[in-house]
Amino acid sequence: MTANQLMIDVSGVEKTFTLHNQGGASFGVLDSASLQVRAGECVVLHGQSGAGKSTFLKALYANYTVDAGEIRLRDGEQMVEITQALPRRIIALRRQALGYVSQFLRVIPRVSTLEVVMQPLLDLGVDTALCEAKAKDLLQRLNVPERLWSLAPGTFSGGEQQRVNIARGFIVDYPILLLDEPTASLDAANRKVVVELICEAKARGAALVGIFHDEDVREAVADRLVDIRAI
Amino acid sequence: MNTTADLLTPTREWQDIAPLLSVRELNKFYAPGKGCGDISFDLYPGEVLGIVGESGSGKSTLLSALSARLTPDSGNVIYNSEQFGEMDLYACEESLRRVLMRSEWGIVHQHARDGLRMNVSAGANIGERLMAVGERHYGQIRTRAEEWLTAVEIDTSRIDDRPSQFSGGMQQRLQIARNLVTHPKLIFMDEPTGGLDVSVQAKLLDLLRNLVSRLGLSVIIVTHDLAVARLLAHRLMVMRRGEVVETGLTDQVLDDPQHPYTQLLVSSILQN
Amino acid sequence: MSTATGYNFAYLDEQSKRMIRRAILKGVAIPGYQVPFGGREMPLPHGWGTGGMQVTASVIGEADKLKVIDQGADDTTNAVSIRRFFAHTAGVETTEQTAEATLIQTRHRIPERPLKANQILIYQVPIPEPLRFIEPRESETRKMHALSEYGAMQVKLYEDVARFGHIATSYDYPVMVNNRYMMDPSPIPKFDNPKMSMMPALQLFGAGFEKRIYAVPPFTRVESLDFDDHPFEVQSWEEACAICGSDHSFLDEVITDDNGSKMFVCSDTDYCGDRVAQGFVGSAADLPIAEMETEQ
Repeated sequence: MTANQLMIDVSGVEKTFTLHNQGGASFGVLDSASLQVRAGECVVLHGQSGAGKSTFLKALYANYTVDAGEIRLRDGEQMVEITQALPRRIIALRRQALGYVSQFLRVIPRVSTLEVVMQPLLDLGVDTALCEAKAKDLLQRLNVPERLWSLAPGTFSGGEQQRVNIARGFIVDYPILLLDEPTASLDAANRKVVVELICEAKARGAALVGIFHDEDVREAVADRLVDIRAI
Repeated sequence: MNTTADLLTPTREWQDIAPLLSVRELNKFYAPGKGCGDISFDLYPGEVLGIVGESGSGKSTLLSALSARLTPDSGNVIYNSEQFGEMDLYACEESLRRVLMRSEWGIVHQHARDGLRMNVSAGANIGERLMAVGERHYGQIRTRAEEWLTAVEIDTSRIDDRPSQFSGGMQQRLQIARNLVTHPKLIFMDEPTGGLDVSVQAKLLDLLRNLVSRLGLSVIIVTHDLAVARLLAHRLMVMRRGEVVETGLTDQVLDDPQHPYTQLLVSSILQN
Repeated sequence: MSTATGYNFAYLDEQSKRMIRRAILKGVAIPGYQVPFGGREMPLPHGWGTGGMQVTASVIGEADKLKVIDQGADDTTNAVSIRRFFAHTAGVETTEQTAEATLIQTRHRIPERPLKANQILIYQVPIPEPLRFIEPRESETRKMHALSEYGAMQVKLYEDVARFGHIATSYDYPVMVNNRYMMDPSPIPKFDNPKMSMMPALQLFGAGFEKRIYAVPPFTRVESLDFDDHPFEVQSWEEACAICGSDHSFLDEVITDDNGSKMFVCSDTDYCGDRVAQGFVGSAADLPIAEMETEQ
């Protein structure tokens, strides 16, 4: 990743939800949204609740489809147009180049906390010992007590699950990282850790797009604030 | 040792790889609206495809037609075989299809008794596929059977017990071991967790998920359980009345369903 | 011996014999392959050797000399009945001597004396399908034979070794004929299996209840299944025959009194008698039972 390299290139994205089973009610959320993000840059989306910030972020992750427009994401030398890409291309992109951190952990039965955190890095073929060391370091920094590491996070408190999920999101040094309110309901100490993690990602040249409700976090990480209705 | 940075260099491999299974305009109807029609897709090595839809939507018919167990009315299923190269499943000799079924393929049935021999021991159930492909050393067959029992979390002391003495969950795991012992490339699964208690289901799902990713298996799994689909499948095909109404990445289909039927299906799940 | 009137030669009508001969020819042409045939009713219940009898009736001629054995013995009820049946309906000569017989119908044994090229050995078979125990569907077993899918057969041996530490199957031991068809050799002891291979005599098999005929032509390779680390082995005895002293024939265990005393004797009565006539003696030569045997 060279400095200033274009990492995310969105143009003319439109998204309308149609609820077929509720009388076909339909409402537009994104209308001709465009955004460019470069390496080392953190863009923070803002706007009222319901304005489409989260929808936009999910479209960037290919979790939501779009009705029109293009979304290009960098994967090495290549820009991948994800609205047209095959599922396995998107899976490959997500595995190595595109991370997504939300505040909700999708619990997998029986899998220990340490394994949950290590998994994305293991999937890249990285040596288990290296993955484990990195996972432990992240869990420690995020103040997840060591006695919990060998347990499945299904029974953890909401806050603990959230921090496990953040550790999982930061274990791979993704070139592009999408952050969907990862700091919501975290205490100040842990919010500070997340801010550090984001700054480290920026420093290594990652492009970040995030949604943060906390003013302090937003100010600490944002290079640009973008109003979702204006893009 | 690899550093994480090295591994982040994107690989291009995915671009050149040929599909493992190519399905073109496959039709199989027992009666109008009963069966499946106009099915086309490619399955790539290492991909897990979920086929979802309610009972009677044609998904099990499709699975049978894909796995060479039900001759379609029309259409092609092309399989890229390690042993035979590219082969049109319904244009080739039946003997070749049967060789595939006991070597490169695995079929996990919903009811374990359809996939197991209930009157011989667990060890013989696992060993049969090895013997079918020519293994003639008892000691080695036994060792491999023990390894696979361990892999599916069945105590090796049960090796000489018959599957009829096993619980439903154990039978299902034994069926999986029996299939995986010959290192197949492609596994067909028909509601593998159906009929099991929820706690037993979780264990089986976790096991399947690990085996699939560790062995790099390609899987086509039929399920009506969207939670199972989310956990195991990379992408989904939603079927209704014998037709595919929606396809896509698993999380895309489940989180942003487009077709009215998919929206209905997704909204019908109890959220927790 | 007089021939019964009112019956065709050897009981079966000529049409039925021709049909059975066609099945036999087909069986000879495809060694080990089970040929279905339209089994006829015989004046005996199924399970008493009706399959073997139909084959015998179809190949027997006026010049033939017939021997019938059951459990290796010529004097058991079943053997005597079948011998009498053909003496009665075909007027052929019968014998108890292996060397003299041109046709030998058997159920449980192959005679100890090696058979010659001018002899035919006819087996009465109860269950002709070796794959039956693992696959109950006939349509599927036929397909397995057609495609040489015999891996499942090995499962039977696996189960033996798993349970007993060795291949414990001692009768009905599955064989591969001419490197192609898996065959059930009827309930002969596996002791007799090696005799089937490269035998100069023609071997015919008839299953009356399941209406199947199969054959092993002369000088055809017949191999017994096994594992690399558990090779095929025949039974052996510490003892020798109490009557003739033979240490190389298949022995039956005989209980001699109410106190559990026992002795081992040749199951092939003709072979044993022959040896005694040649002057061989066993440990129990002076016992009354041995005298009884040698008197015949």
